[in-house]
Amino acid sequence: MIARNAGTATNAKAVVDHVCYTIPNWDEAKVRAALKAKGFFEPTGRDGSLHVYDPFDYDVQFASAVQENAFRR
Amino acid sequence: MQAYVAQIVDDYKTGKISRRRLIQTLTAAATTVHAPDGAKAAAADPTLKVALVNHVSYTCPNYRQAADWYSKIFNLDQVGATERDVALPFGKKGEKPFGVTANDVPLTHLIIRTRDLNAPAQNSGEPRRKSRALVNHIAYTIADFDKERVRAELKRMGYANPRQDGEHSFHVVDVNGFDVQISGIEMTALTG
Repeated sequence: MIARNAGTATNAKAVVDHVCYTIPNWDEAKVRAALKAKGFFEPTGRDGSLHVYDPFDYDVQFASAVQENAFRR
Repeated sequence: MQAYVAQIVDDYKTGKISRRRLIQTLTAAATTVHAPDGAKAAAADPTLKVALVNHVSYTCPNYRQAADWYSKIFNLDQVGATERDVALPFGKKGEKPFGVTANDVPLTHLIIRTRDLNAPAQNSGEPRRKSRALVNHIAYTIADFDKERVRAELKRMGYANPRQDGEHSFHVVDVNGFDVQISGIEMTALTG
């Protein structure tokens, strides 16, 4: 990921509305506790797949391999 | 840190978060900044260490058209199609992501969708927040990138003059005008 300061204007008709990151060795309680420790008290989503917002309200998803797998949709 | 605190206070002022959440968040932030060594070690807790991008969620007016474009350009299969979305994994079923040996890291994939971003998110009664950030392009790594072969292939696909970005990448726009970068493995976080 390259984080930049820039304008947010775009002519595209599409948007990347979120990016999901794989957390290996997913442990529900540990992940929720780790998020809480970082100030994310109420992540949305479901067990194994949690969403938070970054400081600019961009949707960030964390997921286990079980919950987010292209071949298990 | 100042910007983060200002953002949280602003969220409180505009009603996005409760007073309780404001206090909790600021307390957690202050604790992190002034943490003793033990707590700093906890901040380095590997629980959230990211292994790989799981998927990129791409929303557009016509997901079938966009999915076909990505399949054509990057030779990606389409799996798990529904009436509103489809997944395009970067590999075949049973394959592991490039360079990954762990068994619980799935293939990165695109999920190309058509949906109303003003509607509440799944499993959340709250409307989505309006982001002040955006992903303005995505760079894809091509194995065995050969500049002239890639240029010729792009030309064959209708991109007569792809924008070259350094020695190891090109930019084109997809069917929705979204910037797509196509790179060789020489394009890394350290080489830019």
